[in-house]
Amino acid sequence: MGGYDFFLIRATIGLLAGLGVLSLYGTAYSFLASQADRHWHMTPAYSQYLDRMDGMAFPLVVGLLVAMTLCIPKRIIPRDVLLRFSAAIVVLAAGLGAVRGAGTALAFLMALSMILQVAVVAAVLFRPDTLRFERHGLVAQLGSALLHLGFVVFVFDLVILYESRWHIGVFWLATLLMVVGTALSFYAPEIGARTARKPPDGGCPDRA
Amino acid sequence: MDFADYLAARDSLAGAGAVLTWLLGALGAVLIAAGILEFAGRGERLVRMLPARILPAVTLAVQAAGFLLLAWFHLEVRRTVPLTMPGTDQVLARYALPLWIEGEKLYFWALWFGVFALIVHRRQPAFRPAVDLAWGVLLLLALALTNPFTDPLPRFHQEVVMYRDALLAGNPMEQVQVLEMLYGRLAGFYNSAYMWIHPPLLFVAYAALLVSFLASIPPLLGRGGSLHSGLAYGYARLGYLLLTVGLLIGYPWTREAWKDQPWWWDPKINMTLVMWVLYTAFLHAHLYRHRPGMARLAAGLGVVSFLALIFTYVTTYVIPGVHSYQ
Repeated sequence: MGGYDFFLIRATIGLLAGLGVLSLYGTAYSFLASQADRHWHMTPAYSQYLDRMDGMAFPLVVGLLVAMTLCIPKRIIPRDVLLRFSAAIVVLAAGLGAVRGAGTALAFLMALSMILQVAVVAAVLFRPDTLRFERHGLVAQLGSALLHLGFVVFVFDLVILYESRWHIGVFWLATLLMVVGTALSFYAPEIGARTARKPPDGGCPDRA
Repeated sequence: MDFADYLAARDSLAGAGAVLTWLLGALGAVLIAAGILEFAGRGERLVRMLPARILPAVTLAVQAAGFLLLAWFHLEVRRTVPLTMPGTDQVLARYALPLWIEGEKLYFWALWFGVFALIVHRRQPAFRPAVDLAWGVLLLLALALTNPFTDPLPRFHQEVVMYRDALLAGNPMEQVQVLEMLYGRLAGFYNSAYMWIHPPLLFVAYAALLVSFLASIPPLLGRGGSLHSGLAYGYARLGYLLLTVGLLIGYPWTREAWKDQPWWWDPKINMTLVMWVLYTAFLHAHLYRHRPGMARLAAGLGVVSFLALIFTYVTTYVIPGVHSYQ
């Protein structure tokens, strides 16, 4: 299963790097275009540039969503069925995409990611023994789970709820989850050391 | 509107600021000299001398005094130049200018770097030369490139002068037009709650990420050890947390301020995404630093990420866009 994890990590890094390169290209393109016309961002050429950038970013964003959806179940799905489960998700999403369009397929992936990630957060709190994490300790695992949940909610909000009146409210929820998750994840050792109870005899504190 | 009082406050700031500029310039130069001497291995006696020991605290105290002076000027702006209904004394709104606009940005960054430098001085004395050198350079850059004292808030000053001229001209139509424009700037930019949260979080993040950058250089060159990579990671995680919060808080502001203007592939936003992705990669690489070659790769990413940060900062001034100050 290490190969599966490693593949997902490499795929995520590759897709993020692709977005980075695309952004760099966009900056360079904007610079060159502004050299020719300082107000080019107020011309139709700017709209064409935006459409082109959207088009190039779309497969990368879809790839990231797929990678994220495949990454989350590894925490809770038994390893012997994980590959079959992942393959079923991809086939189902592809089928939905073919029949109902890319939007429905993406919504399915994101809704599934959210449900699974909520299950991960619940398991961290109540059944931590059923989970598989790279990092140990309640604080680090809770941080990681909340961060990923926040990210999933953030993407869902941006893609599906963009025009909805709930958009900004859900955005703040996602932000809160991501910030708390990042803080817990980064400062897990310090928080763990502070919250560990000291035994009455003055011995070593429990490890979080 | 008490324009004479406003101009007097501006002159007072410039006068006191000229003294502060010389003082801070001298302190910055001494920090650079101390950093170079310590790098050259002649710092042992230097750091034992009392003036050298109190140099960082004195520098930070003078920087803080400059910041308080700027705060006083902003309060004077609030008091002296409110937006009033033309032809009446009815106050429509008063300015609440943030302390990190126009030429004050780099100064604010340097102030926070000073705070972190003082902490590093106390906790990791071995890292003092690099921090001193960077602190001195950043301070001199802030004074030389965007001195906030000598010509305080030039763009805001232009707006106030335009408003005063419109009031003196006595043309009601022109007065209303200018007032509408200034009120839009006041509500959407100067007094916006986002303006009080989004930029300062980013500048404090930049200051922490500068410490991380400095600590990443020795491991990249094959020197230093866990002390440097630990310091680089410690400040990177603080900077990354603040950076992420700051960037996220910028999003509802874009919706509110730019409305239907296309902003998503703006050069500044593009570079911000590049910087954020690079720092994400750096923090992940640090987790695997014990594997062969990963410590140096992480250090390299720490350096490249900060170069991307500099480029992101400069992009705002070089490439036109919705997030441009050109």
